[in-house]
Amino acid sequence: MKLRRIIACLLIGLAVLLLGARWVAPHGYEQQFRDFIAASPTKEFPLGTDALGRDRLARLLYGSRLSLLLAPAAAAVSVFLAALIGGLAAFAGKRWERAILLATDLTLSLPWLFLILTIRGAMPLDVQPEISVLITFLVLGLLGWAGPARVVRAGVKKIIASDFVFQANAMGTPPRRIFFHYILPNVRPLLFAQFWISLPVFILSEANLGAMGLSVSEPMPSWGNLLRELESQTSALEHPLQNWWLLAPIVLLVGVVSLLQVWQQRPKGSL
Amino acid sequence: MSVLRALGRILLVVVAGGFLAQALIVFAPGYSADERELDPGLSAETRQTMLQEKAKDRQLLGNYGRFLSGLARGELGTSRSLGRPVKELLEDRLPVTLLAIAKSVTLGWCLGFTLAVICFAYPGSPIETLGLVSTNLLLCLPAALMALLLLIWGDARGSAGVWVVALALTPRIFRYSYNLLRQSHESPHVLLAMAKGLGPIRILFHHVIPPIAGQLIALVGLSVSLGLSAAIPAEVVLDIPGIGQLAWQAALSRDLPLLVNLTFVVALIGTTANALSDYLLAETVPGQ
Repeated sequence: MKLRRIIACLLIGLAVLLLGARWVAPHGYEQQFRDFIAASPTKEFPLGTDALGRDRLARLLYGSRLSLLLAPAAAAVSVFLAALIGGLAAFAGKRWERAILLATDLTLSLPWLFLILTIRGAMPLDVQPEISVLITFLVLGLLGWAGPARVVRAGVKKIIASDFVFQANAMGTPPRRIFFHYILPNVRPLLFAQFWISLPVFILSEANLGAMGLSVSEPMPSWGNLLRELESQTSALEHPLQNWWLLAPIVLLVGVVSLLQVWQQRPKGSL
Repeated sequence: MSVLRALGRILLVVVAGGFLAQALIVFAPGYSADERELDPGLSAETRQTMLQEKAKDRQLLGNYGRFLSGLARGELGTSRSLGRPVKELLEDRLPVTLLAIAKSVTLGWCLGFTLAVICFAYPGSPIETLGLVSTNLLLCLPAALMALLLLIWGDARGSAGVWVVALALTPRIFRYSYNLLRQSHESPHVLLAMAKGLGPIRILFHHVIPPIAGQLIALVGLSVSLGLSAAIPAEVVLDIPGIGQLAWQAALSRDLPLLVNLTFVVALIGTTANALSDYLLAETVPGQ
């Protein structure tokens, strides 16, 4: 419990810092300094500048803010859809259940990244950066429902079969009241668990998509875009100690995802 | 489970998966936009032809029916972006990815399962801590980043792609196997075996692993699908000419015939791997 509290404090602190990126970052993420192209760290640019003369620290802060705010939003969309679809499968009779299970099987039969890549590729690529952000995270949210929906369906079915729901039914409680007062409160922990499980998956998926040039459009930064920039820095990265500032996005990405992984880890012995 | 039923299920999932992918791509907003339209040198007739081509794509059932009948004759159409028959492209690239996935799954299982057994055998030791920390760290690395790091600091070509996919699979296999081993170890029959004074190796191979064999075999099938997911960014970053890179190129150029064929192939690989693991499960674990 103590570890979870420390992690929560770290994540909240980071979120506050990133929300205040406008005040913390010394420059704007798209502001170019043509006299400081690919510069090493200085007082003015603590993490140096990129090949276009943009402040790396500002880009890291704004990029992290984007990934850290929108990944939870995408996870919330996918869990909401999973709750609707999984709940319907458990509640609405055999036919619906079979149809929904077939749809989940179909979605799960395709590898996750292949599915996102295909759909993201079909979306417009040459759009305004703000729209590209929306598209990227919406695609993640809309396609991530299948796995959690299966879990929600199993959870709701278990609750429906429990003694207290049986008793409520026997007492003539209307189905709507059963759903809102008996099932929903009991399925809520499951939905939260699915949310926390989806979160690192979505952050990593965005990073993978960005590294393939299919995430957020330039000049807006995201962790995926920042990783893509590293692909052109391979010779500098051969000497990581001399060029340590280039590793900052990797360290932050891995650090945050590690915290989230440890946060959502279940007790030993459980699956 | 009869072989016929398994084949029927594979066919249903693959055919429906292909149709679903086609529908999602064609009706995605922006599919009708074509980068070639930005070319000022294009004539009005060419633009018109392009528009008609895109409009034809929206006739889902007819198109998919033609695709399936072509598939039955062994004709997979021509890639719009690469200008080559899809069959040729798949013949060139599929073996590269399949071989890499086979090697990666084997390597991932050797690393993940061995590490799980070692950590399970030495609970509370530095080895267990090291195993848990290292696999947690691997779980936090996107496959594209692993590929990039191998490109910079490791052997860029050759087996780099295999290592990326294997390292992406290892923590997942480790975590699942390790938790299963711990759960199985707490069963009453294991306690009884320990009380009878059986040796640790005998307990592991005769009492702990057999009850969880079914779940482990099911994970083998799933590993193939997970491996395919990791292979896409690995092939893109490391410039490996497999179907992952082909899918990326097809997605970027919105090449519908190529994408539908690739969906078909990828769904076929995933469902076949799962069906094979189900078959293996039925053959090796009674009652499953």
